[in-house]
Amino acid sequence: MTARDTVLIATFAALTAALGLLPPLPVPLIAVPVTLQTLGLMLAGCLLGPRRAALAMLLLLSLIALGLPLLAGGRGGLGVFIGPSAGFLIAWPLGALMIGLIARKAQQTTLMLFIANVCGGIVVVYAFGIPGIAVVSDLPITTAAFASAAFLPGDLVKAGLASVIAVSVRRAYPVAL
Amino acid sequence: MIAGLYVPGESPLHRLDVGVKLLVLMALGIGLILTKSVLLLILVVAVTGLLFAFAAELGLMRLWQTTRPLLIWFVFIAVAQILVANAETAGLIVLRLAVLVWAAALVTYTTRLSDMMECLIRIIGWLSPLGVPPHRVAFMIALTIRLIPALSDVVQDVRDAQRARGIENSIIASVVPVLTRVFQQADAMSEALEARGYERWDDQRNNAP
Repeated sequence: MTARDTVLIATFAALTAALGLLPPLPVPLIAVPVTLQTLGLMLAGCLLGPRRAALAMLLLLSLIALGLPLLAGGRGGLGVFIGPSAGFLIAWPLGALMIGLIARKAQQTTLMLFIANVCGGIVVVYAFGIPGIAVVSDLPITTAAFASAAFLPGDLVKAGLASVIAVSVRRAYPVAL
Repeated sequence: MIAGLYVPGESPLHRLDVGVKLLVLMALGIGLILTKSVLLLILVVAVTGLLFAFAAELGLMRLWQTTRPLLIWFVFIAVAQILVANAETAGLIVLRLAVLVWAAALVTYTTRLSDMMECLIRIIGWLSPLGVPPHRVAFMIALTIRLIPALSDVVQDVRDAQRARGIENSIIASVVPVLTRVFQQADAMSEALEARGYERWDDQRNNAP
């Protein structure tokens, strides 16, 4: 691992934390607040490639577990890894890995990156998050899935935003994935 | 610098070794999954609450702040459980969740960031035969903690610049310049690290017996 890899991993961990400090994105029609934090996960995957993106997310989760309030809304500590939404968090490194893998193979177009963001940032994250809710609350998985559906519109908007942003940034600043 | 969640204090819980606290937390987690008795759970809730608010001197206010983000989940779980099962199961699950989150928060609030970090590095040390270098993890953690306020400054700068142009509400117009600046900053920082022999230090530590 080069010095540049080390710095980029730490930078994207910090960036994802900083995005959590921004005010939540208002999405019309739904009452669920949409934080910009998972935008960091998607951008890391699109811009850093699989390995560095996954490590950046793992680093961020470690800092949260150590007791830093880096999740959106100033939450942190060991408690967030026990609560009902823990599955969504734990999936971040894998989600970033998936986005990075697709982004590396695919052409760097908005559409392809959108597909990558949906696969990694939504499918993978929900694939851990929904069973997480089901286990913690001891409910059928369909009920858990129903509860998570409220977040889907916001996450789709973020996947779109992340792809548009990633394409512009890569044009200005190409980094080998 | 960003502040951790640690609340300074001199209570017995503050002075307890981190490793012991984490082991008790794990044991509590396993124990609670096995229990089916609501009465026992109410007792554990009371003990944990008292430990949290009074023994650790964290106060009832902080206990409430810890619980508040979970309230919507409690309502959801209670309603759904009463529909698919019964009120007893609903109570069992809500109480169990509350205790676990309180206990985990109790560990976080009473343990210094440096002690937690030492514990993490020790655990990673056990993994070093698998190729996880503890010194590099420690370096990256320190670097990230330093970078968060720096990045918040970049975000603030760009937002100010966009406000001057009247496009402050466009996320794309804000995040793209933030990212290009962040990459430039990262390049400058990695050159600075290389100039100071970071990669050689890293290699030497990796090959150290």
